[in-house]
Amino acid sequence: MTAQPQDRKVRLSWSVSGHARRLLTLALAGLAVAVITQRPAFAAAAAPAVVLLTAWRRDRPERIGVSLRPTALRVFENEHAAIDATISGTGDFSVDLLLRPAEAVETPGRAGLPAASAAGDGATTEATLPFLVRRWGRRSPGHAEVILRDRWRLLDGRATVPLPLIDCYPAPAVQDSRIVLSRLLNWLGEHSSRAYGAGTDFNGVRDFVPGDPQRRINWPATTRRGRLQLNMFAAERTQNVVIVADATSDVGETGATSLDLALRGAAGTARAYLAARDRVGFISYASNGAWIAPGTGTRQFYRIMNVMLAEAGAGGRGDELDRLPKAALPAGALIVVFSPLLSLRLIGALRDLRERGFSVLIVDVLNAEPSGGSDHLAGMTRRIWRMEQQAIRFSLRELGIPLAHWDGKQTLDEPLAPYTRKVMVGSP
Amino acid sequence: MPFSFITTARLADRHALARQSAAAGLLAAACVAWSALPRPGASGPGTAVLAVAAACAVFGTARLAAGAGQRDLAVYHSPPARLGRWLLTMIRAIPWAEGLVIAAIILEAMHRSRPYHTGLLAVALLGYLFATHLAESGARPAVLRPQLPLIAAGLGLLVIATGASMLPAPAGPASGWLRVLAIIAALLAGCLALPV
Repeated sequence: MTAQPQDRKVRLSWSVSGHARRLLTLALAGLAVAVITQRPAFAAAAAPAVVLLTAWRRDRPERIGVSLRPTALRVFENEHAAIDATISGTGDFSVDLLLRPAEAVETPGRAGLPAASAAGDGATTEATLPFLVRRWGRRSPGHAEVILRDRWRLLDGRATVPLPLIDCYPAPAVQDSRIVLSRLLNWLGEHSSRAYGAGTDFNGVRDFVPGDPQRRINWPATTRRGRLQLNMFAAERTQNVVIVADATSDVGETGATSLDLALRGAAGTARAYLAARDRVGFISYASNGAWIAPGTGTRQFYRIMNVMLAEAGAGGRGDELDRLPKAALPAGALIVVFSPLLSLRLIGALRDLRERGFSVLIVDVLNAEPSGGSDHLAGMTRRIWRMEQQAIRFSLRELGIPLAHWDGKQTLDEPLAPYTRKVMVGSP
Repeated sequence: MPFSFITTARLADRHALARQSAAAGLLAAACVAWSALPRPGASGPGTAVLAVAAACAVFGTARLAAGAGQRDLAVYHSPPARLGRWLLTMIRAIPWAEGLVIAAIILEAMHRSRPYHTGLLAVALLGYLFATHLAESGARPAVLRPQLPLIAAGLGLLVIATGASMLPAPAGPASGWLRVLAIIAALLAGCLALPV
């Protein structure tokens, strides 16, 4: 998705360049020493600098036209993007364009050096400023700095223009395998169910009855049994998956916090199930708890990502929900929760869901511990905290809620492998 | 590897920066060495100015090699890291190139040298200033192409003025002043006549 160009006229701020200051120093020092010591050779030494400084020009543009257009308004973490810039009204001045990156934005090249340079020809100058966003969020990539230089490089005209906002989505975790419930919806999908149907997976043979399609007759079995046998196939069904991302706590190393991992995991899971034509819904568990009902397709994926950015990125921490919204939880849905399990209200809500018969799977994204001193008391406190966490996880497992730990480095397939290799028993 | 193009571009920039800084550093060393020849006495103001010039050359090159500096997002630093950052800020803040120019000219003035010696020093200083500008702005040497006629005119004036200052001076208390003023006047006339 590309953006509309952002056209504006900006005022330039002109100043003497560092090069001109140094030439002036050489000229003045040479002339001063010549006069003081009465040695004409020093006046001669000032000659090249004086000649270069005479090229000083007074006519210079006061305003220039700047048009900035991001190549994409939506990017994922660590995805390359760029700003297409068009500078007009620069006359015969050369144009240097710098991208001053904002937090979590990287640019190629040395800091403070132009990302693009072009010699002015009186018309327009076009350049591209590449960048890369390291962390999800709705943010501006930074500021574009336009520097005009005369051909003698004695004057610098500078203008700074803020860059337009872009949405950076969390990079979806890699997940190729999927958890399939034992009971699926009666809607056409891609998962083989236990029921017979018109799928492609072979599911056994039965006696032929009039009206059955003849092309499905299994001739080897017919020969062996002496009566007509018909191939049976498994029906292909879809399932509802609701992903819950816990945005109530954000602990851990910057760039790999529990919230980062929860959102990346949720994005990866949503993409994996949507690719299998399942119906995927999303709940952002935070103080303002936004949710989106299950749906299918690429558009649903971007709806989910927008809800993630809008709600999880808002950083709303406060009174949490006691129960997850009913409308977002269709009966028989698989509920995948990404959480560090630090919110007792969420744990209560998950217990409640399990007791209501939902198939819940928790992906634990807690990879940090409380920091503190190295003394005995701090060590004891940490031990108690660890035991509390173990108790919480044990109680959830006892309720029949599978729990997998994910560190954010490996693919999601690895922690979920014990559940993706078999059918997960679901409730009707 | 998602950062491949950034890594490649940064590596190329680092190499270019190293080349440009090395060129400026070599020219700075040449300027200091040339202005110090023949070496003044082992003690006294000559040695102090030489030390200042050498320090300006070293720190000026370090400033170019350090680059423009990036925004630091970290809030807390260890005391050695803080000291290092302060030193780097100081190195970036002080105009070392200007200091080197002044120190080299004073050093040259502290001993009786032939006018051609001073002329060559001026050429070396001009080269150093251009090298510093290129390293600082990250520009290619090709950006100086439009300036070539003007640089040639400046060097021509330098040669003429140096030659004039090598002519034998007439006797008299004001002859030195007059020669300096004559060269300055010729210089200004030459500048005004240039079609810029």
